Amino acid sequence: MPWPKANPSARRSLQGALLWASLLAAVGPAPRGLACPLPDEPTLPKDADHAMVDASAPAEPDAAAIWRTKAALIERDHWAYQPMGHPRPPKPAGTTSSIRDIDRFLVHAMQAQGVIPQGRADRRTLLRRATLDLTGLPPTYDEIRAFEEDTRPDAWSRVIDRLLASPAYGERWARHWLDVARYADSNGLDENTAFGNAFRWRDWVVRAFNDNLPIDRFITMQVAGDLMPDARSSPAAADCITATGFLVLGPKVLAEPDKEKLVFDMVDEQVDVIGRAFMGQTIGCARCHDHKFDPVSQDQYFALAGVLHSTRTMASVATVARALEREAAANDAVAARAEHVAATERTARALKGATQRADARLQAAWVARAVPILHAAADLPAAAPSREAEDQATLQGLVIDRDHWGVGIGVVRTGGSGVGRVAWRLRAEVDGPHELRVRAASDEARPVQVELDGMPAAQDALGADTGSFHPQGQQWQVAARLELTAGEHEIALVRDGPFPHIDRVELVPVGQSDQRTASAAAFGAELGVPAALIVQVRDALDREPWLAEWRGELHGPMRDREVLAADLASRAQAAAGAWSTLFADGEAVEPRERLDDPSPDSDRVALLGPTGPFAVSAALEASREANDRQLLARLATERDRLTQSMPPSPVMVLAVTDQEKPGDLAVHVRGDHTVAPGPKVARGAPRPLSKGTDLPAIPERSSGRLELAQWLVDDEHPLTARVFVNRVWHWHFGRGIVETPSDFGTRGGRPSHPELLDWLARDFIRHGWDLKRLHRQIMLTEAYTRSSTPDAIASAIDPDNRLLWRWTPRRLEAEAIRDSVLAVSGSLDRTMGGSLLTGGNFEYVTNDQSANGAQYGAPRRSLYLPVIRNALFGFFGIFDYTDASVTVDARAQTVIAPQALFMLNSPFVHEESRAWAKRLRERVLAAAACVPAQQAEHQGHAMVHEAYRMALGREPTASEANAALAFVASQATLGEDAAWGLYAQVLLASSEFITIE
Amino acid sequence: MLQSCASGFGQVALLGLLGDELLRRGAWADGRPELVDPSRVGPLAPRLPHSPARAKRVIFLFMHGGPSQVDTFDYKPLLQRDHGKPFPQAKPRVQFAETGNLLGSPWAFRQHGQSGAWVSELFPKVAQVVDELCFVKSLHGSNPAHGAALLKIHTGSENFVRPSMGSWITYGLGSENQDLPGFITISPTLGHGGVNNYSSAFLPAAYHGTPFGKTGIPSSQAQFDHMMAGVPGDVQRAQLDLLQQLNREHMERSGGGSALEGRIEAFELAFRMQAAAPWVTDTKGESAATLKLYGIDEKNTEDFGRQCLLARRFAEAGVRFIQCTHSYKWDQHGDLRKGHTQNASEVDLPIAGLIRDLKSRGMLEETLVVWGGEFGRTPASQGGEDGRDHNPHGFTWFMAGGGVKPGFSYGATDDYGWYAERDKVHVHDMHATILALMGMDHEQLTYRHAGRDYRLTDVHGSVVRDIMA
Repeated sequence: MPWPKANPSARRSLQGALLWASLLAAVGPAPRGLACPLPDEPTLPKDADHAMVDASAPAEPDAAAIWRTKAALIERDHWAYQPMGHPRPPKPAGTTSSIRDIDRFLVHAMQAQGVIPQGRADRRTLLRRATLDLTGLPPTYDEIRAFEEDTRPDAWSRVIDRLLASPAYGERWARHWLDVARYADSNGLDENTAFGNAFRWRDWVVRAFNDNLPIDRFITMQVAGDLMPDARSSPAAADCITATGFLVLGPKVLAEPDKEKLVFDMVDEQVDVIGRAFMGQTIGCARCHDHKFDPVSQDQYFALAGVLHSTRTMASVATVARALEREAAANDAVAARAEHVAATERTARALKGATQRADARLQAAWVARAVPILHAAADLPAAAPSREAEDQATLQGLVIDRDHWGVGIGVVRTGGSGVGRVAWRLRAEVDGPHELRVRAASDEARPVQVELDGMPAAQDALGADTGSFHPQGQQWQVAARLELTAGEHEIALVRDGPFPHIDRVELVPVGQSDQRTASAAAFGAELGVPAALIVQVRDALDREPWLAEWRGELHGPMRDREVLAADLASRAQAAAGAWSTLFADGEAVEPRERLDDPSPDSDRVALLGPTGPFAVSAALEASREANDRQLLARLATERDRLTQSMPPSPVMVLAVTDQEKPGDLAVHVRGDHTVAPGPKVARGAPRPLSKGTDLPAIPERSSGRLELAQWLVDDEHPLTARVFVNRVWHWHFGRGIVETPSDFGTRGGRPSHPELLDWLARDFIRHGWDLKRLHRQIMLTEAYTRSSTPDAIASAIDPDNRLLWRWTPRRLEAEAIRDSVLAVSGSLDRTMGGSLLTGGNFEYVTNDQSANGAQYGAPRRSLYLPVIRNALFGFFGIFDYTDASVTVDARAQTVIAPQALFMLNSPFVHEESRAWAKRLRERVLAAAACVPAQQAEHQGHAMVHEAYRMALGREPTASEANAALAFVASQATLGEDAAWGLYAQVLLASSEFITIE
Repeated sequence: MLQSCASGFGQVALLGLLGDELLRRGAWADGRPELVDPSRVGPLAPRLPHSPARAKRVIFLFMHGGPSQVDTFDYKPLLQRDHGKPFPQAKPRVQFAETGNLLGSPWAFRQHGQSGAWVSELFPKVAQVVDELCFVKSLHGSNPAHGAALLKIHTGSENFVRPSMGSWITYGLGSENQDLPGFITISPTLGHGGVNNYSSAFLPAAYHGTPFGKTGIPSSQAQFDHMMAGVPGDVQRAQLDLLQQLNREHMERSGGGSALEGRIEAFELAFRMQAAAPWVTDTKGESAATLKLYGIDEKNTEDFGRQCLLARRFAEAGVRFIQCTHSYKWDQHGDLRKGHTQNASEVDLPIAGLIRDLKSRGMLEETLVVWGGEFGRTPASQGGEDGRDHNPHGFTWFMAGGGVKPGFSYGATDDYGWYAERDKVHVHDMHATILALMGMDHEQLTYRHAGRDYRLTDVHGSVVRDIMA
C-alpha cells in the first residue's frame, strides 16, 4: 500500500466508493465550470464536487474513502501512471528496412487510418526549418546553397550536427526551458524588485544545452545541485549551486505582512513548478484538498511541501523580502575562503593592536625627546622675520589659494598657463650677502628664476621635488644668495610654466645664518639629533602664529615645558592620524571639509610635516623600538601574504540551501496555515505517481531534495523521461505527442502515439538522457522532413495533423522574429551571456509612477533582454511571449492587430528596415564592383534578389520581383533609400519571413 | 461541429487559430449557438450575455493607494466621539504596520441630496450628484499590502497571475467597436502588480488591457503604442497592398491555415484602428462647457478630468471596459489632512462631471461607473495624529448607472469603520455583482486552462442582488 495514511478517523465505505466510481465512469471527467479552489483564501467551497473533499462536510469519512478508491482506480488505469512499456517498433507494410524506428510508429498509425504522408520538403525549406528550429535564426543564402549542392548521402545529418554544435543552439533551446522554469529578471507580483543575478542561472542553462549535459543530471542539479557530492569540491561545483536558482526564480508576495503565509505560498509555488516541469502533474492543486482529478492526496502534497519547507529560499522575509543568494563555488572552496577571510581579519586586527601599542610607546619616546629639543630650540637665536608668500605680493599669472591646503595656510600657486611671476618688496637690515629662503612644495621639479630689482639674479632655484603639493610637502630651500644693500628690494620668482606652491619667504644675512647654524650644530651634537631639527623647532615656535600661545612657555619652568611637549606631541599625532586616514583614499579633494576637526591640522603641519620638529613620517618605522619594528613587520608581511593569496571572490547566484533544522510538515485543512494543523506527514514525494520506484530514505538532517531528485530521474520513474521527451517533441513539431506537455494528469491530453512516447523515453534513458542524440533521432525522421503541402483526403481524416502526415507550418516565437529581423538587417550583436539590467540587484525595476529601469535597445539576441515581470517588453507581450510568472509549456500562436501595428509603426521595425536596405545596397554595389558589366538599371533587380536571398533564402519569382520594383518606383518621390526601406519593411512583415514551414 | 461552424461564417479568418480556440473553449460555445452574433465573428465580436444585461460597459475609476472610508463616505459619529481612545475591539491578526488610538476624521460630514447620503467636505462636487450613487460600505478584501490588494481587486487573485476583470468582461461580451481594443486602461501604473493588473493572463491576447498612456506622464500626452503611422497614409496603404499580395500568395503556396488568413485580416484591422484611435482620443472638438464640466480648464483637475473625458469618449465609441487610474496618491500613512485634501480636490470635480455628462447624454443607465481603491484605511491613527494604515477589512466603493440603485447605500462597517459588519461584500462578491450587472453569471464565465476551468471569482463570490435597480 503506497498510500500515506490520509485520515485515521476515516472509515471506508466500499459501497459509496463503488457508486462514485460507477458514476464517474458514466459521466466521464468532472463537469465543466468547476474551478479548483485556490489556496490564497480559505473559504468553504460551495459546489457539490467539493463536498467530497471538504473535511467539515457531514459525509466526511465516506468522502475520504470514496476519494481513495477513486484515486486508486485512476492510478490503476490512467496511462501516465503505468510503467513505461518496452514497445517494439512495428513494421508497416510497404516500408523499406531503412525506415527509422520513430517513422515505423508514425507510418503504422497513418496506415491504420488510411492516411498517406506527404513527401520530403525541398532542401531550402528543410534547411530553413532546421536552422530556425535549432538556432532561432534564419540560415544564410550560402548555407542554403551549400546544402542544396551537397550530394553526400549524409548531407542532412551533417547539417543537423553543424547546427547542434553552434552556440546559437543553446541560446535557442535554453529559452524553451526558461519558459518551463518561469525565468525572469525581476520578482513581479506585488513588489517588482530585480533578480540581478538570475542571468547567471540562464547562462548556465545555455551552457548546459550547448555542452549536452545529460538531462537526468540537468534535472538533479536544479532540484538539489547544492546537495550533490559534486557541490563539495568538483569543477562542476559552481554550476551545481547556480542550477538550484531554478527553485528561487518564482514570484513571491514580498510585502506579505503574514510571514508564515509568505513562506507557505512560496513553498506552494515550488511544489507546483516541480510537479508541472518535471512530472507533468498539477500537484499544487492538493494544497487545499485531495486532488480532484489526479491521485494526489493532500497528505502527499504536504509530504513534498515538507521537503521544500526544509529548504531555505529566502535571505529575509522581512518586508520587502529578499531571495537567497549564495557564492557559486564548491562548498569546500567557500569554507576555505571563509577561513582565509577570517585569518586575514585576525591578522589585520593583531597588526592594528600592535601598531597602536607601538605608537603609544613611540609617542612616549617623542615626549621624552621633545623636552631637551625644546630647551635647545628656546636657546637658539631667533631667525630673521619672514613673511607669508601671499602677503603684499604682486602676482602675475598666479593666484592665492587659501582654501585647499589646511587651516590658515595660504599659498601662491599657478593660476593658468603661461608665465607666472610673484614679487615682494623685502627689506635687508644690513649691507652684505643674504640668503633668500623660500618654503615651497611641488611634486615635480619646477625650477624658477630669481630676479633682484628687475634683473635676473639666479637660475634653477627651488628645483626640488618635495614629494607632494600638500602641506607636508612644504620645505625650506635656499633660493639664492644675494648681495644686497640695506633697504627695500624687489625680489621676484619667475617661471614659464606651472609654479611650485610658495608658502613663505625670508631674507637672512649670511653671517647671522652661520652663527645660528653653529649653535644648532652644537645642540644637535649634544642631544644626538640633527642640527636642522633644532632650527626647525625654533622657527616653528617663532613663526607659526598658531604656536603663539606656547611661545611664552618656552622660557618658563621646566615642568611647563614638559607639559607643553606632551601636549604638542599628542595633538600632532591626532592630526596625523586624521590626515593619514584621509589620504589613504587617494588625493584629498577638500581636506578641510573632510576633517572632523580641522583645528589641529596646523599643529600637524607645523610639527609633523617634513619641516616640523617631530617629523617622523618618512622614518616612522625607523623611529620605533626594534622589537616593535620586528613584530609589526612580521604581522604586516603575514597580512599582505593572506591578502594577496585570497581566492577571488566567487559570483553570487540565486540558490537554495537546506534549513538548519529540516522537519516534516503537518497537513493544514484547506491549505490554510492559520487553522490548527493536522497530523504530520513524513517528507517525501507523491509516491503513487511512480509505480515501481521508491523515494530513497531521507536522512533526518536533510531536506530530502537530493532524494527527491534521484527519485525523479530514476530509470523506472513513469513520468520524468516521458514528460521531457514529449517537451522536446513539442518544441520540434509545435505540438507534443501529449498535447499538454505540463499536464499528464487525467485532465491533460492523451498521447497520440503512446507506444512511440514510451519507446522515445526508454531510448532516451538507455542512451544516458542524451539530448543532442534525441534531436538527431527526431530530425532524421521522415516525419520531420515532410513537406507542408496540404492534402484534401488526409485533411478530411486527420484535420489536426495529429498523425504528422505533413509538416504543420507555424509562426516563429517573439524572440525568433526579433532575432531574425536583427540578423537580416545586420544589426545583431552575437555576444553571449551577461546581464542587460541597469539597476542594482534587488532594487525596484518598476514603480508606481511607471518608471521602468529595463532597457531593450541592445541589439543582442532576445534571450538576453531583461525579462521584467509586471512589465514585459512590449514587443514580447504582443507576440505571445511566455508569462514569465508561471511555468509555461506552450507558447500561444495568436493573430492580433497589435502585432500588425508593431510591424507597421514601431521604431524598431522602421530602423531595422532602413538598416537592412542600406546593407542591401552595399552588398549589391560590392557585387557590382566584381562584375563591372552590371548596369545601373539592373541594380534594383539585384537588390530585390539579394533581399529575397537574405530574408527568405530563395530567389524571387518574376512577378514578385516586378511587384517589388513597381513598389519602389511608386515611392521614388520619397528618395531611393526611403523607398527601399519601405520595401524592406514589407518583406520583414511578410508571413513567409516569420513562418517555419 | 466546430469546424463547420467556423467555415459557415466568412469572417472567421480574423481569428485564425485564436478563433478555433475560442470556439472550442469559449463562453459562447456552450452548445448555445444563439448566443453568437452571426454577423460578427472575431475575438472582439459582440456576444450576447447569459441573461439580459443592465449595463453595457464599465468605467472603473481606480483610486490607487487606498482612500480612507471614514474620511469620505462612511460617517462614524463614534469615531469622532472617541477620538484619541483605544479601539475597543481586537485589531486584525495581521496588520500592515502598528497603529495607535482612534483618529476622528478631520473633515466635517453632511447629508446630501434626496437620499441623505453622508459625504465629507472632501467631495463637495460628488456630494451634488449623490442621488445617482449607490454606495457599498461593507467591502472587504484579504491582503493589507498594496501589491497583493491591487492584484486582488483587479484579478481576484493576489498570489497568482490571473486575467483582469476587464479581460474577463471583454472575453465574455466582446466589444461594440471592432476598430478599437475592447479593454482600455488610461494611465495605468507599473507598480504594485503593474501590467498584471490589466493583463489577460491565460485568456487570449485580444482581451489584454490596452494601456493608453501611463502613470507618471500627463494624460494630455497619453497615446496608444504603435498607433502613429510613421509614413503618410497612402504610402502605408501601398506597403500594405504589396504585403497583402505577398501574404496571400504565400498562404496559397504553403497551404497555411487560418492563422495566415487571420494575419492578412489583422493588418487590415490595424490599418482601420489607426484611423479610429486618433479620432476617439482627440478631445479638441469638445465644447468649452464640457471641458469645464470635467475640470480640464483648471490645472489641479486637468489630468484626471481628461482621463474621465477620454473614458466617456471610449464609452461612446463602444469600448467594453475602461479604467481610469489616479495613482499612486491615496496612501496617507502620514500627512492625511494635506494628502487627502489634495487628492480629493483632483478627482472630485472630474468624477461629478463624468456622471453628469453621462447622464445628460443618456449613457449613464447603460454605463456602470465604479469608484474605489484597493482597500480603505484604519480608523486608528498612524504616524502621530495625521495618518492612517491600510485596511482591507472594511471600506467603501460607490457605483453609478448601469443598473444599480441610485441614491442607495448597502452594508455597513462597525461603529468605528474598521471591519465590514452588516451585509458584507467581499471583493469576489463585487466581481460577481459587476459581472451580473453585465448580464453574466460568474460561475458560467469560465476558461479552460492547464486542465481546469478558471473563473474571475475562483470558487467564491455571491451576487449582491440588493443593490440592483
